[in-house]
Amino acid sequence: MKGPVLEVRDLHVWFDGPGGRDVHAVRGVSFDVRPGDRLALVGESGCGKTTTVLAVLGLLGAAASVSGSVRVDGQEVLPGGDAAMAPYRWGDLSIVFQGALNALNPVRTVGSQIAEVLPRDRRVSRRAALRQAGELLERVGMAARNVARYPHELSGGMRQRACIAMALAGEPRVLFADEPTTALDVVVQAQILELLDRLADELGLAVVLISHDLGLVGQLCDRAMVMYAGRAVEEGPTVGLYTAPRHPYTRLLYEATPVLGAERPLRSIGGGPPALDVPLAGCAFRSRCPDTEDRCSLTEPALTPVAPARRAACHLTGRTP
Amino acid sequence: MALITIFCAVSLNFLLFRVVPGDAVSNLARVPNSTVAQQQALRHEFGLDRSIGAQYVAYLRELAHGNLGRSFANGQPVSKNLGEALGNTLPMVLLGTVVAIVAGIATGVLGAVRRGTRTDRALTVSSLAVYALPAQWVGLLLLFLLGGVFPSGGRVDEFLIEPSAWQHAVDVLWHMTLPSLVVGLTLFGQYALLTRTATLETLSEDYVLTARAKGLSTPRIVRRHVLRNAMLPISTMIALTLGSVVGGVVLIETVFSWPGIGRAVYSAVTSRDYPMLQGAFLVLTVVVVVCNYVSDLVCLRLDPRITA
Ligand SMILES: Nc1ncnc2c1ncn2[C@@H]1O[C@H](COP(=O)(O)OP(=O)(O)OP(=O)(O)O)[C@@H](O)[C@H]1O
Ligand SMILES: [Mg+2]
Repeated sequence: MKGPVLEVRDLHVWFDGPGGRDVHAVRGVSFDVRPGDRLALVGESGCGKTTTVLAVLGLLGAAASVSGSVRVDGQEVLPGGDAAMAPYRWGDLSIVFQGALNALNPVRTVGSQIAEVLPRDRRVSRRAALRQAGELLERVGMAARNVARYPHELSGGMRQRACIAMALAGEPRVLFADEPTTALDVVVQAQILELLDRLADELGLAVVLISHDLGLVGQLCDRAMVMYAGRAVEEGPTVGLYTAPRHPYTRLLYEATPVLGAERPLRSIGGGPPALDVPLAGCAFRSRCPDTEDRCSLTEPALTPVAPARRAACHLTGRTP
Repeated sequence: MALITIFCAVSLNFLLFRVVPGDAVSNLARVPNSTVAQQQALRHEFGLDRSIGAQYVAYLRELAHGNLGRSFANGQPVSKNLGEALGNTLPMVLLGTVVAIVAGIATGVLGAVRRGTRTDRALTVSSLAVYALPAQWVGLLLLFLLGGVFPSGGRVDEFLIEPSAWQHAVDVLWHMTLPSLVVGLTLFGQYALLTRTATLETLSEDYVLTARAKGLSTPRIVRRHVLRNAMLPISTMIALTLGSVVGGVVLIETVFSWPGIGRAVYSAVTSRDYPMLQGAFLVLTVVVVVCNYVSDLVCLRLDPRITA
């Protein structure tokens, strides 16, 4: 097996918070992406999924400080900043942003925005570049003539497709898709998902799907990392994750997800995630957890192997069947 | 739209000069030995004894033929006086404005891209300083500093004998430098600050994050994804500020004795030259409306979301 394209180790992100108190948005996240992988980052809103991805891509800017290690093909890129990351952008790692509606420049045509990231030898002339852009659009199920249109002339689903076409233009090896279907209706959602699935197969692309929707994750990905309050609380193959969750948060998250045909009551998780601008003592999920012990409020549980290819961060996990 | 605005302005302009108490002839009552009969005759000659409505129609009819009346001061047609003045003012203001636009946009973009650095702070402070200074003060300062290098007043060197076209052009340009510089400086600060704000706003847009993720270099991002979007608010604001330049021109032209429209307004006011004043107001209004119209056209070209 080939080595991982992307290795992320102990990633931390702090934002300058109001009143000088820093927000510790990502607290020690690690994961690998190998060629052809289908990884999901799952968790409720605000748990740090987007921040993790932006930190990996070096896109957080001056308002955040990042520590840890990010390696692309074994090459450390994190401390080098923009200059170290630049050669890998789009050609190796590309992204479909959350809220693709604003991810396209409103005053330039779809075609020119795709063409500008084509590999240099593909855009020897403007015509050649636009033809290539048209072919990419066809690949994602749009008519090639859409190259001449402006973003506001496209529907939400079409804009999302255009963003995917744009993400493919650099022929990346890893595609991050940050909630690519959130703003779309269910029919279009299914189409986009199918598209990502097909493209990943055809191009041997690794996909990192960011989502709070366990249903989508199960359809597209074979491995998932469940995040809570800036940390991974459980990770492993998607199949076992649903049938036998080892962390209470995963279980509650699954029970809160509507699944078609499943005859079970829907339950929401009470309370909300903890504030991240004060240091946390003990387990971050404690206040919402159905079964806690004394040590849950003393030490934060580490991510430990609980089964083959499965890891969870819960003091009580040994006792949860 | 622009035509409707101009029509309204023309009508207001007409009304304004009717609602002031007394008419042009009532001043003549102070002339010794003038009789009421003479005044009536004059009123009849100028059409002032007709109804307001009839005067308005007559005014519009004459206006449509380009007739703005005759100046009280020198007896020349107002349109001829104003045409000359405008011909002197426009190149001077345009030169200054173009310099201010180019320098202001460059400064603002640089500050925004380098946000928070020493460069940014230095640029912002100097822009603010220039913006805060009144035009006549800047004018006097420049006169004091550069008065020896550049001619300090007038439009041409009166002692140049039979200059060739080329010599004349250079001479005019030479005289134009200082007043243009004042126009440019007073606008520059405003444009730089405005551009900085607009650029910062654009830089925080999602599509700029996309551009960064695409691995485009900063100059390319600015050129391809920032400038055009930031230009939309800037071009609207430039059109609005050009209205205020018109006011500033009165001061600047007086300081530098530039024989333009600003000085024409000034001397028309001091000598109660109503036809000149009325004509000048009309010209200034038209200039402002045209500026706004041009900015609309620019936005239309820049932004595909706007349709005519
Ligand atoms: N620029 C920023 N400045 C300060 N805090 C931020 C910033 N961006 C994100 N955060 C904080 O970091 C935490 C994680 O945010 P993030 O956007 O990564 O969540 P997410 O998991 O992507 O949520 P969602 O599902 O809503 O997209 C949140 O608490 C958020 O308030
Ligand atoms: Mg997010």
